Amino acid sequence: MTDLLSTGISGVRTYQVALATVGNNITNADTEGYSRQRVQLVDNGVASQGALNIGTGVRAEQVQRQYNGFLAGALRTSESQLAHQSIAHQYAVELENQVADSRSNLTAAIDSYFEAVHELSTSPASLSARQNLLNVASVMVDRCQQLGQEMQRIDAQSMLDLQQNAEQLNTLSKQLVSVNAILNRNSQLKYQANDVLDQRDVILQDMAKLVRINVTEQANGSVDVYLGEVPGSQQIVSATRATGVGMQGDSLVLDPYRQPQPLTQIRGGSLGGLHEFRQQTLNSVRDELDEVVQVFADQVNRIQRLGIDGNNEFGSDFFTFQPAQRPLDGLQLALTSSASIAAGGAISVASVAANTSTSVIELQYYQQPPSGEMTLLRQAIDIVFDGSARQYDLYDSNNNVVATGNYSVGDIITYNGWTVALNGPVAANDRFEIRGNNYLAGDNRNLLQLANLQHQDLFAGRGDLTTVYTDMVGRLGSTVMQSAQGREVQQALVDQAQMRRDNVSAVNLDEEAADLLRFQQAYQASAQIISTANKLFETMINLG
Amino acid sequence: MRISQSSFFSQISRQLTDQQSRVFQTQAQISSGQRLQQPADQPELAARLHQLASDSAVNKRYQANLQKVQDTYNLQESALSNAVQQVQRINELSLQAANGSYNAADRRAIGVEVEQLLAGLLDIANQKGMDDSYLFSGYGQQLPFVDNGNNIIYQGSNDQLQVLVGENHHLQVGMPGSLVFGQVLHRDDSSGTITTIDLFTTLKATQSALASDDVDAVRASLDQLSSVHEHLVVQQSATGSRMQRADTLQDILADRDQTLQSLRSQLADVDYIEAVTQLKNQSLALQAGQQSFAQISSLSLFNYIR
Repeated sequence: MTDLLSTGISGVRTYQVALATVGNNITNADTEGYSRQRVQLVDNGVASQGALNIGTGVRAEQVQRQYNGFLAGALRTSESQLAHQSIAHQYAVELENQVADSRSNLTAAIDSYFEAVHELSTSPASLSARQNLLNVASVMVDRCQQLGQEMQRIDAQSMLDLQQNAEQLNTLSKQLVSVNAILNRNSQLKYQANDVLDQRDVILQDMAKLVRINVTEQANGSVDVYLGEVPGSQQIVSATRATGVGMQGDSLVLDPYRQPQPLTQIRGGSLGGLHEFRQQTLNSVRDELDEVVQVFADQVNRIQRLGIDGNNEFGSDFFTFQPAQRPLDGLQLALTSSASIAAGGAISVASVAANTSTSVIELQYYQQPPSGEMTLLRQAIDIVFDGSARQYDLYDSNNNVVATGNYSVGDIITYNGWTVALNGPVAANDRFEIRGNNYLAGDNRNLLQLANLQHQDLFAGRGDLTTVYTDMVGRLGSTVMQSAQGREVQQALVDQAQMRRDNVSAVNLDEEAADLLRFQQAYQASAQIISTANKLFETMINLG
Repeated sequence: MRISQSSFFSQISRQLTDQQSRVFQTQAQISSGQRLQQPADQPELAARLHQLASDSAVNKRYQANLQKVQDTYNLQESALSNAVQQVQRINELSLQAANGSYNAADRRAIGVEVEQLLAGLLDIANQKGMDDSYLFSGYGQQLPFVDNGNNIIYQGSNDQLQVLVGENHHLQVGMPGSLVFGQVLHRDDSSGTITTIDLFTTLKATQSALASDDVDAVRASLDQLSSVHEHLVVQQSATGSRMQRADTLQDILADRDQTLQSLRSQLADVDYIEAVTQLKNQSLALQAGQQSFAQISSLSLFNYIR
């Protein structure tokens, strides 16, 4: 009889625990990282009375945390990848919107420059067209600077993100060390408090969103965390110590203040995504923007220096660069006066009317003289053939022979930086004149050279300015597409991993409602046992 | 399968947000008429449009250049046509004056008319073209022909302005005065040799022969005058064929412009029928999502435990 009472009491006690656990599950249904708990019920054992073995009720052996370490790890890995793709995508989109915007992109600025060159080349004598070219160039420089500032902003923003994420990781590492310290008070996992283990897993998951981590769990549930691909390398959390990560210059390092080690293989998480964006996408886009601006300015300057400006002098540089700045940011207009635009050609060539042959001389091109002395280009030179028409002398204006050469049809003649060709066979004693030009307001020859730059392959086979820029925009576009697709795929994988983890660990309120009813009924039934035991006891008393 | 309360809500809300943003994107496309709201939406399309915009701008530039060329050709053509008429009138007058029945007074009167015609020719030669620059001055920008009393001197340059109308494609636009008025080819009928004579020198000589009533000199100048006339007609017809070539080129550039425009429009402009249908589908999906969410979320066992 006393046994029945204690059996009933064991039931009441045990189901109180079970109900409390269900209550805890229900109230924590929305708690992040909470793992569902279940009470493990065991038989209280038997009381032997001779040959009779009578059970003595129930007890709560353990409040078990429903958890699968493998599923938690899989969720962490996919969260890492998702965070990586998300941040890389977010930044790539921002970059793309800057460099490919139809109004602010660099090609549009360069196109407008050439537009103004064309305008002036069709009306070379127009002072307003001259001034317009200078104004347009100045607007172009502004646009380059604006784009450069946007690049700097994205650079600084992603750097700040990196630093903040690294600091978050360091904070989490320290928290995990404290959790490890609590866990290390017990030697066995089953004695650990469930909420501490949940806390550990929440921290690990947050860390995984920042960077891909390798986790080693000890027998008592405490964890070691590594960043390295090689097992056991680049540990950031041990039982007792957190090792920080930080930025050193442009790269992430482990233990920045004691023994810095480069974290070159950092992958996954927002740190990995930011690292990849900066190292691969941002750097290459900025390099290409710089290259386009540098090549453009160098080529314009080269042609400008070969032309004759409004002061009857060889042109000076159109553009210059501020020292110690990237070309895109540092591009500046060097010309201050529209008279300094070198619109005219430096050299004219002509056949002498008295020539026997009808051979026409053609100026193929001219460049800086080998000596670097530009004035030599404008030196008057006569090409005079001898009686055989197979040899020629070059005369200067004082009638001195400055050079001689042999000639057969199709040969070019080069001197002082210019190269000429003769069309058709020459006759004995033919004479051809090379003359330096003076400034003439209507001369547009150098502008034609400048306008032609727009379609020249200035990048060693990679195409003209527009093509190179468009290719770069295209490559950035596929980075955006890939990261967008990657993000979608990873989101799906995260959802799957989350579902698998939830299947084991999550709280489902319908299930808990059923348990609530179940345990309530069991509790009521146990109470009924006590009541029955009481009635039996009263029956015995009343007998007396 | 155990469904967690929290991920149930977070997944549904994410799906609803995604659907909502798709609806808004389609709506933005419809209201702007542009398929692309920002380059990152469709990077491939953005790169393609980028190239097209650049090609189109360049083509438009060449069209503008060519238009200027055509304007200049038109001015040159009408100037030369006027010059031909003036020279023709001088020829007719000289032929009359060479007639023995005319007396000195008649010739002087003709001389006065020729002088006027010559002044008219000088005005034509000094005519201005586009942008306030002279039509026949080469690269020079000062008055190309100046009458120094004895003769009319050319002081422009001998260069021919060229204009780019395509990649590495120049059109010759300039007609230097020295070529138009200075290099008249003349074959001497008696000796058969070909020489180059100057238009104004020839006409000046005719005029002074008339003024001094030198019939022989007037007769002698008739051949040269007809060479001058022929030269100007040749120049005029050369301009005519340049104009034809420019017209053809303008047609080609206009075709290319049309092609680029329609390509751009195909790629960039919203197909309204498609977009509106899409919007309808997307709104329907969003609505269905919202309704089913409302229904499912109200399902709970707790509702039935009393």
